[in-house]
Amino acid sequence: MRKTHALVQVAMALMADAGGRHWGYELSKQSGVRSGVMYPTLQRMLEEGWLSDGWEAQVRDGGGGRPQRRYYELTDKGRSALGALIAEAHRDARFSAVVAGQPTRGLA
Amino acid sequence: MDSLILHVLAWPTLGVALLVFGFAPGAVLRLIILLYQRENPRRRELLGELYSVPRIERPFWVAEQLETALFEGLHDRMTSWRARRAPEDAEMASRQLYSNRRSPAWTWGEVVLACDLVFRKGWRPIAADSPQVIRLSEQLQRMNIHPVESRSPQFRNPNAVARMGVDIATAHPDYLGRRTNGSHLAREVLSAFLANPREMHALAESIGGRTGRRINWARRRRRRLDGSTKDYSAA
Repeated sequence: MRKTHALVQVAMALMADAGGRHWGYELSKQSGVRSGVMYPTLQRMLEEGWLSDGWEAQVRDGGGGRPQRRYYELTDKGRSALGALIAEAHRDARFSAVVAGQPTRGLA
Repeated sequence: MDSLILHVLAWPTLGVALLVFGFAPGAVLRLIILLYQRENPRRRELLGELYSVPRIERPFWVAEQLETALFEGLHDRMTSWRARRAPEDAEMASRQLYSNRRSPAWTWGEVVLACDLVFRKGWRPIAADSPQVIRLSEQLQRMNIHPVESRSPQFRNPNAVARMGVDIATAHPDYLGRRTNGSHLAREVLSAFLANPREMHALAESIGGRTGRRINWARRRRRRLDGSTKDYSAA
């Protein structure tokens, strides 16, 4: 998978809570990557086996019958791959700005 | 300032605001997700995500999804459409190729062999499933008069051989039934046969014999090779 700024930013946002569930919009806010780029990035990570996905349970109370949301969780393979990716980004001068800036922008 | 407040609270403005931030994003998003294929989970995902996005951001968020859907969803649709079309196109092209490609015209020697068969059958048409027709068909296909690349899949098959036999038989002067539109060459060879039956039969034997001899030589050679392999392995 080609290493891009968006990939590193999403990786950092995912690794900030490596064991948790991640939701598309919130992840977009945390990483600072716009949703038009982030969903394709998540899709590629799924194809690589770095993420697994699922659908939240139907929300009845207070949910207003809204559609279920899709969540993403890091797999073991994903944790090691993204850990290595971030480590590489730390060493790579091209990603110094991304790594230096905190990925938690917007919703955190 | 008062006029601005009044303007903001005016019914048309309120209607537009409700449309842009309330009704429109959901409606437009439902149209956008149609660009993705039916089985693509992004369809469901985007609808679910919409309600996590604050109302004020929704129109912009939906506009971003249009961009992705155009480049990703539409691209997937085109790719899958092309993949579905590819086998059909290939089949159509090959069908067109074969339908356009005709078997090469019969040569004098080939017609002599077919005519000899009809001659031996008393100038009667012969069915395509008769052993003699099948044998002649195989013989004509083995002969290297016509390059393989110029042949159609039906090249000198039993039906084609039987058809040539019918053309010759119905062109015979004693034939009382309806004549077929045989080739000029078929009539020419028939005339030669009627004029010199013995010589033409001998010619057919010679043509067939040459082919037969080549086949027999190949068979003998194969047998010899097989035999030598057996002998070698036995030793």
